[in-house]
This record gives sequence, structure tokens and C-alpha cells, in this order.
Amino acid sequence: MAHSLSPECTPLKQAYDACFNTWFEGYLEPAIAHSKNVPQGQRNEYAKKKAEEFEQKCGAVWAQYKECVQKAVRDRGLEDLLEQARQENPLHHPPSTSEGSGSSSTS
Amino acid sequence: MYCQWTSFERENRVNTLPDCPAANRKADTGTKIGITSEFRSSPNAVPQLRTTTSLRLSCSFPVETMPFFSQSFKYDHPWSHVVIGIWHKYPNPHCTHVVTVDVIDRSVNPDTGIIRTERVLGCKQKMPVWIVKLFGGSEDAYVREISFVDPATQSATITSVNLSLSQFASCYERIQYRPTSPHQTMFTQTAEIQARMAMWRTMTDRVESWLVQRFEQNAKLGKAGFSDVLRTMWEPEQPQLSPGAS
Repeated sequence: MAHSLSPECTPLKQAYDACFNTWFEGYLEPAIAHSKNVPQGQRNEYAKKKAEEFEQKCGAVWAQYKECVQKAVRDRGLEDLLEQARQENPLHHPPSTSEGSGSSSTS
Repeated sequence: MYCQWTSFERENRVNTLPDCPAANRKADTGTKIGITSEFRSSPNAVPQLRTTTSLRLSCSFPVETMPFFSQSFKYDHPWSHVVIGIWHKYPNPHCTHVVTVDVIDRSVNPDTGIIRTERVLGCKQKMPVWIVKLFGGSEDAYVREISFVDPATQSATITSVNLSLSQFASCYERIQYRPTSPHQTMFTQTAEIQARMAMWRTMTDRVESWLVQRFEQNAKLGKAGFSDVLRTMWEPEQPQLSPGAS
């Protein structure tokens, strides 16, 4: 796994990445299958259940890693650049659907 | 893939400015500096400087968009394998310029199942020395990357934009992965550059004024230096140089 911006965040980053990858690899294939075979209501149930599971499993290490990496971003003077990029192109939704319809998501 | 300014430049040279109406095109003259000075008339004469400037980028829109790169090809792997692979791409011996990868935001939409991830990639970039000197950048270049993975539509899109040097130009890269069969995945990549003309003008103004200052300083030094040479040569202060000495 690649390093973090700041060496002190790297162990937290790797723990978080490992947690996400495990969750993601368990999530993806059934999510595809669900979307094909199961009516709309149930697919949402699956996504909701898995979203909660992700929070449960990886939420704690994410909170720690996030705090560390946010400091690293600040220390490198990237905060303003990032904020500017977010204002210009929030990308709250996938580009193909948000572009034409004039997404209102400038926060 | 990320931060490859050198290859962008190469591509950029191949493409001429697209969609630029003839009326908006400008001559490509660069910066000229002229100097006139009256050395003789007064010892304190200030050299007179004359400058004319015009930009090399030659379309007069406030933001210049230059689409210049796109490619697509198929991977012989199912979509789900490719998308799982995305998170294992770095470190990669083929992409040693990507040094750090950090997730700064991630959400799993409980209604749609779409995963949105925002990352910051740190690149060690062998940028041309003149860029580093001119724009005050460094070897570290940072990229913001936003990805969406949608299992329902089997689509993954990754958009990235440079954070470093973004006051001058933004390079937007868009990658999409879609299945073409149960065993193959289509990769589509496009990139475009948006140059911020106002910032380029400010920068050329700054470079120009720096050049003018340097020229002014050097002109003064040159004048003082040459005055000394002339004084040493022609003012009769050194009697030991008389021809009859040897």
C-alpha cells in the first residue's frame, strides 16, 4: 500500500485501507447481483445494510486516520487549494448524471 | 497517468488551439525589452526602458479549454475485478511518480449503493526546472481525485485535477470503467487543460517587471563598471606606465 502524506499517518492509513478493501470486496459482487435480480426496494435494503456495516467496521479507524490526514493536508498548505477545487467542481454526484442537469450541490 | 506534464506538453503541441475563432487569435510575439541611455550627457542618467509584451497563448477567452487527449482500450478482466484493483494500483513500479495516496473523504450512499471517494495523491514530478523557478512550485505535486463506483449500473468514474499550480492551469482527467462483456472492461480516459488567462497575464507582468528590474540593475552596474575601465585606461594617474621605462 502506498504511503500517506505524512509518515505518522501511514499506519492509520494502511489499517483504514485494509478495512475498506475487505469490506468493499465483500460488498461489490453481491451488490451487482442484487441490482440485477432483486426488485428496487430490496437493493436499497442491501446498500443500506452494507453502508451501516462499513461504518460499524471501519468508522473508528477512519475517524483517527481522518484527523491525522487533515492535519497533514493543512501542514502542507493544501487546504486552500483543496477548498478552491471543491468549490469549482464539487463532484458530489457522478459526473455523467450531475453535469447536464446542473447539480445544485455547491456547498 | 497522473501529473504527466511532460507528455501533456507533447500532446498539446500536436493539437492546434481548437475552436478558436479567427477574431480571437493573437500574434505570437513574446516579450521585448528595449533600452536607451545617455551615458555621456549626465553621470546620473537613468537608463530609459521600453517594454512591449504579448502572450504566446493566443486565444482571448478568460478561461481557455484545450481538450487534447483521449484514449480507450479493453482490459481482459471482469468489471468487478478491475474496480477492486483500483484500490490496489499504487504503489506501482510503472508509476513511481505517485508517492502518497490518501483518502480524505468517503461515503457509501445507503439509497443508491454508490461509493464516493475523494483522495489526494502526492507525486514526485520531474518538472521542467523553468516551471519550478518561474511558478514557485516544487518537486511535490498534488492531485485531487474523486471516484464514484456504482454497482447498479456497473460504472466507475474517476475525475482528477491538479492542486499544485492550479492558479495557472487545471488539467482535468476523467477515467471511466464499464463492462463490455462479463470478462472485459472498457477503459476510457480523457483529459483537458483549462488555462487561466488572467493569471497568466499577471505572471507575465510579474516576469516582465522582474526582467526590467534586473536589466535596470545590470545596466547601472555595467555603466559603473565601464566608467571605471575608461577612467583607468585614460586618466593620467599612473606615471609608471610611461613608455621610456623599459
